Amino acid sequence: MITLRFEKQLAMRYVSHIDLLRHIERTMRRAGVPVAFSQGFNPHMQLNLGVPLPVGVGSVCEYVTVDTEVDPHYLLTVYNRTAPKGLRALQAWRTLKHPNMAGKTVAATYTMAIRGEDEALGALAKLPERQSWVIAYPSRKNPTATRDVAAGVFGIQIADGLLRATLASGNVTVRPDLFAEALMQEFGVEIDLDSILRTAQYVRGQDGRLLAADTYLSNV
Amino acid sequence: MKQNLTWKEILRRVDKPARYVGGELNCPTMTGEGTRFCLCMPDIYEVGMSNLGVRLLYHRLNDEPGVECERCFTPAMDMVELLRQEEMPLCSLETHTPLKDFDLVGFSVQYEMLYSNILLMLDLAGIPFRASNRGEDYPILIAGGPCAVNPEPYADFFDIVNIGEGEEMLPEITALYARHKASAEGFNKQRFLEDATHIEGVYVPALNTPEHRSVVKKRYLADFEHAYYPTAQLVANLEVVHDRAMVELYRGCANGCRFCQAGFYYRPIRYRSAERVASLCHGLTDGTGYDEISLGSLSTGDYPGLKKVLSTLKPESEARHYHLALPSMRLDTFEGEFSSLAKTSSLTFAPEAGTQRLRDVINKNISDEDINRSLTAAFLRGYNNVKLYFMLGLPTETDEDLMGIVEICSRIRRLYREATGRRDVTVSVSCAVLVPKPLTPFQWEAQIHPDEMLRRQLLVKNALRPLKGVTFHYHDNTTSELEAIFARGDRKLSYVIERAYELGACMDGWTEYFRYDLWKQAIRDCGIDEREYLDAQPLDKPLPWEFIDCGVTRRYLEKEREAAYAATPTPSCNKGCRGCGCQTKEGCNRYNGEVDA
Ligand code: SF4
Ligand code: SF4
Repeated sequence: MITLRFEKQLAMRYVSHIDLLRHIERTMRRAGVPVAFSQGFNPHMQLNLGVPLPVGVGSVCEYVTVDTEVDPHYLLTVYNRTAPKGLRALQAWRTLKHPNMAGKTVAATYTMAIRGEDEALGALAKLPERQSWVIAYPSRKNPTATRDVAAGVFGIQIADGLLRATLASGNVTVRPDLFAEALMQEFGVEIDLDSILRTAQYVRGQDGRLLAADTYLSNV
Repeated sequence: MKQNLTWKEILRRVDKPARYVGGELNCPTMTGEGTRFCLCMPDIYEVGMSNLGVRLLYHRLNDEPGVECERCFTPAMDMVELLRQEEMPLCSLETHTPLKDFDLVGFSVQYEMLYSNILLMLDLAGIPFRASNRGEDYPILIAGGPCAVNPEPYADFFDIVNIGEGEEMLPEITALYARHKASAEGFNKQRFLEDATHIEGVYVPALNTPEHRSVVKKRYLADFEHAYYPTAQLVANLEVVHDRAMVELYRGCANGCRFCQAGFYYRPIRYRSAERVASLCHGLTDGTGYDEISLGSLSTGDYPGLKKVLSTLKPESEARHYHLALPSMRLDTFEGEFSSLAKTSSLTFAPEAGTQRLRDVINKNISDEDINRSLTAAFLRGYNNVKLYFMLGLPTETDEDLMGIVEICSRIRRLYREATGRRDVTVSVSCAVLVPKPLTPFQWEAQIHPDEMLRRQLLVKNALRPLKGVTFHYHDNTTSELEAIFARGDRKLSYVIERAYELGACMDGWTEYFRYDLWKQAIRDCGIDEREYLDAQPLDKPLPWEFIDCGVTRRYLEKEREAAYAATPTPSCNKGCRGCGCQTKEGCNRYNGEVDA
């Protein structure tokens, strides 16, 4: 079992979760990596992605678990030889058991370029202390929906025009693009929605605190 | 109201933004230098990216030194609305360059219902529709693809129409363009177009008018075996209609079914060897990683190297987990053994007509015994799902022929029961409407009136109703009527296309957008009598497309027409040359100096 960390950038940002899986499967086939297949009438390559990223948001920390016996560094090399631009793999771990990134992940950090008055920036940095924060949370089915996301905002830092927010991601998710739009709405700041980048993901550590996914993968 | 949205903001608002950003696997890096060509398909990304011809031409042009080819597809309606609202011009996928700024813009026109989308794209791009209204500042507009059999309805919109296969023609056009651009006296559209007429297959509508005709010879690739074929092909960023790699086994078809335009237009037959096909499949797996490779042609079961290809590729396709798909298998060539080598989830057969008599009229050489034998073999192998394709409105068709369709379905149920002892077979019957197409022996036939067509459709539908497990699909016959008008149309119809677009017609290939009433009104507004195109055409009248020399002669088509009325089949070219006209050209390698008339 090998887990790859890979980026999702450039045009690949616009690729949906389900299409992403196809892209990785095809990359493995081009690379000639022997990956296990499921049994049954319609066998498919044994690949497991982590928590989906909203279409349009970039990332340097996506995860895919591949059921293969090849050496992790060999996989990294041959995968990158034929991966589409924007889906480069950055690191590989061999794990003893299935890391179940989709099920275990609970949070993610996003960065985004922000501009605003010091006062506004100071006020929004205090968001994690709030008990309740209701924002517009439109979906295709319900374009006027709202949601209280206070419990899903774990941390906010601002430095050098860059906002770094750690938000719930997994079973409970706060979408970074909707989060950013709400900040603009409520605090009058300006955020470049196009700059949103997922930079880290976390699982719940044994002590109950957030544990970086990379650290988790080194120990599974 | 205009909101001054940026392109990135627009992308955030539309459904499936991956359609508009390019950057797919094997998409070359562009520099904006050299001759810039934008290859357009008047259909949405998912359809356009499924087209093998578009993929081929895209890579062919990009591999040409000094040429950069980008792409543009018809945007979906949500994007169309945003582009209009923001007054943003239609741009290429790769570098987001407005279509207007390209040197050449080529449209691949696959079928008649796409004509309004050509205008939609030109409109969004800010390019005047008529070639005569475009000065030196606009790109050279080129059309190509299957609809070039009769380009007259849209000819006035284009500077050049490519008649026949484009793989060699387009690079010759871009090379000529570059020469003219670099010439001492500078680029002059008129001079360029005059020169372009010397390229075989090039039709310049402004210089070759119904009043002053010269013959244009169809272009075809003589050496198909060694023809260019890219293996590192574009792989779409979202699921497209045909999400797979494709290898053409051969071009053309030996069978000569009398309703089939492709069968006559793509003559003569040119093969690719089994060895070359297998090595292309290998290359495509390395280059694309698709889990399916389709072995395509007009009639795959007729390909002599099929077994060899399948058995050669079996070990590799198993090891690398891809499968080979066989589209267009003919009933009389289906052999159960292929099913163990290639994946066919259901049996697809096209008898096209319900009785032997009518099959003889249309020259579909399938007998009832063929049907019985193939199906029994397939049922014994475990198939229980049959798809049947028929055509309604064929010349000389009677109600008895229609009942023949029903008879075939009940026979299939009986055969299944006899072969397996079970009753769980499903039969799906699909009936298209015949559109008399140029360059076929039926090009003079009348299009059946929609009311009469509906009667025939309902007759079959009702007669099939008592049969369990049989489902029936039929075509909207207003679409067929419009197709028929344009298939045999002349230059007057360009005004109808313009008027219909003005009235709001677009995306006519999609039932949810097709508005027949707008087209009817456009025809009326232009003072045109549609009967002129729908009625039987007199034999002595020159037809609008007859200035194109496709190889097949009018005399041969007339002979085939008489044979149709006499219900006399013409055997396949594999059994001897019938003297269709191609035998006088250098190309037809099955002509050995003798015609079996
Ligand atoms: S088999 Fe008949 S219908 Fe099919 S491509 Fe050949 S000529 Fe056309
Ligand atoms: S020249 Fe003869 S063999 Fe060749 S396509 Fe025509 S009829 Fe068939």
